Amino acid sequence: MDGVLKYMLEILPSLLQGTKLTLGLFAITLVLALPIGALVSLGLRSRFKPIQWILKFYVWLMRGTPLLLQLIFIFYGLPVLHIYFERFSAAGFAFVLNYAAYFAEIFRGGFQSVPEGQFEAARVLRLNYSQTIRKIVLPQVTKIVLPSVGNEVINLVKDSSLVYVIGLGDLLRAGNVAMVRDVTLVPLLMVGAIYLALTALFTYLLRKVEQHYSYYH
Amino acid sequence: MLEAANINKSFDGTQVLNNISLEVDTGKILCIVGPSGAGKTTLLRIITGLEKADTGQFKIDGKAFDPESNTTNEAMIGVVFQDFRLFPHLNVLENITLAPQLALHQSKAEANAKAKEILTQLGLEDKADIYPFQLSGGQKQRVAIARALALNPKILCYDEPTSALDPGLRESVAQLIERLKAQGMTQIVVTHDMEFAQNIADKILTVKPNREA
Ligand SMILES: Nc1ncnc2c1ncn2[C@@H]1O[C@H](COP(=O)(O)OP(=O)(O)OP(=O)(O)O)[C@@H](O)[C@H]1O
Ligand SMILES: [Mg+2]
Repeated sequence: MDGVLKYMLEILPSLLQGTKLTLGLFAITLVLALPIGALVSLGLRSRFKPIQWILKFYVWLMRGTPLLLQLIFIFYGLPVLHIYFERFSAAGFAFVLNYAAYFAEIFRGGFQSVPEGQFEAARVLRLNYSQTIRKIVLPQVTKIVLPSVGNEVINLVKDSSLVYVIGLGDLLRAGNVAMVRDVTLVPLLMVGAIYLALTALFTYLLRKVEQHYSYYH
Repeated sequence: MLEAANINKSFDGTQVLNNISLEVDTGKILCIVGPSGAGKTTLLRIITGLEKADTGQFKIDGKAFDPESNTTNEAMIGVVFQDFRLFPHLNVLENITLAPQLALHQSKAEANAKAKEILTQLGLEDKADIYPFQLSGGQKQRVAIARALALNPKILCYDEPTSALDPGLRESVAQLIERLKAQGMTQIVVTHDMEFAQNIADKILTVKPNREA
C-alpha cells in the first residue's frame, strides 16, 4: 500500500502538468467561444441574407463533423496548404471554432425565447440596438441558456482529451505515458479521478451561477 | 398638440386603416374606440413609431415629425402596453431609471431621485426594490406608466388600459389618467370599453372595421 501511495505521489506532478494544459485549453475555449457564439447567433438573426447563409454553413459544418476530424484537419491537413499551426494554437483554434458553433445554436434558441415585446418596449423607451441587446436581451438570454451552456462546459472538460491525437501533453497523455512506462493501471485511475474532480467542480460553479440568476422568473 | 392626417395602412394587401385623421390638444384625452380587429392597436403602433404607415402626416405642436425616427425629446411619445412589458430581470426602480440614464444621459442619482418622485406619486414608493413578477396586475401597470413618465413624454398612449385588470380597478385607472391630465399630460387611450371612454375622454375617435379586401 505504501508503495502505491509513493508511486502516486511520484507521478502526480506530471499529471498536474497535464491538467494545467487541459485547463488552459478549457479556459481559452470558453473565454473566446462564448462571445463569438453570441455574436454568431446575432448574425444568424441578421436581415442581411448573405451573412445568414455563411453563418448557417459554418454552424452546419462544425456541428456536422467530428471535432477530432477538425483537429486533425487543422494540425495535419492545413500544412499541405502551407498553413502551419503550432500544436497548442491548432488545438485552441479547432476548439474555439467548434464550440462557438454549438454556443451559437444555444444562444439562437435563447434569443428566440425573449418576447418581441421586450424589443418593442426598449424601442419606445428609445434604447438603441446595442443598449437593447446588452441591457435587456442578453441578461434574459443568459438565464435561459445557462443549463445548456453548462452541459457544453462539462463536455468541454472531457473533449479536451482529444488533443492527445496531435501530440499535446494534456492530462490524458500524461496518464497514458506513465501507464505504458510503468505497466500499471494506477495512472489511468488517477486521471479518471482528476477528470471527475474537475467536472464536479464546474458542476458546482455552474449551479452557483444558476442560483445567482434565480432572483426572478 | 398632436395632429395626424391621412393615415393608411394595409397588411398583405388588406387595408386596415383607411384615411384616418386625428387631433389631440395639449393636456386633453383622446379615446380611440371601435370593435375588435378594427385597427385601434395598429393606429396606436403607428403613432408610437412601432409600425410604419403606408401614408400619413404627423405634427407635434405644429412641427412635422416622423414617429418611426422619433428621437428628439420634443417629439417624445410614451407608451403603456396592454401587457405592460416590464423588464423581468430588473427591479421596479431599475425598470424606471434604465432609459433616462441611457437615452437622456441622466446620472444615476438624478434618475433615481426622479423615479422615486414618480413612484411616490403613483403610490408605489415601497415597491422600488422588488421585481415585476412580485407585483399585481394593477401595480405592474402603474410601474409601466412610471417607466414611460420618467422620459418626460409630451404624450402618453395606452393600449386597452383596463382589459388586463380586475373590473374593480377600472375606476382607479380612470382616476390616474384624470390626475395626469390635471398635471397637463396629453393622453391617447385605446379601449373597446365605451363607458370607460365616455368617462374620461375629451374627444372620441371611432375606428370602423374596413370591409374591403
Ligand atoms: N403585423 C400584422 N400583420 C398582419 N396583419 C396584422 C398585423 N397587425 C395587425 N394585423 C391585422 O390588422 C387588423 C387590425 O388589428 P388591430 O390589432 O389593430 O385591431 P384592434 O382594433 O386593436 O383589435 P382588438 O380590439 O382586438 O385589440 C386585424 O385584422 C389584424 O389581423
Ligand atoms: Mg388591440
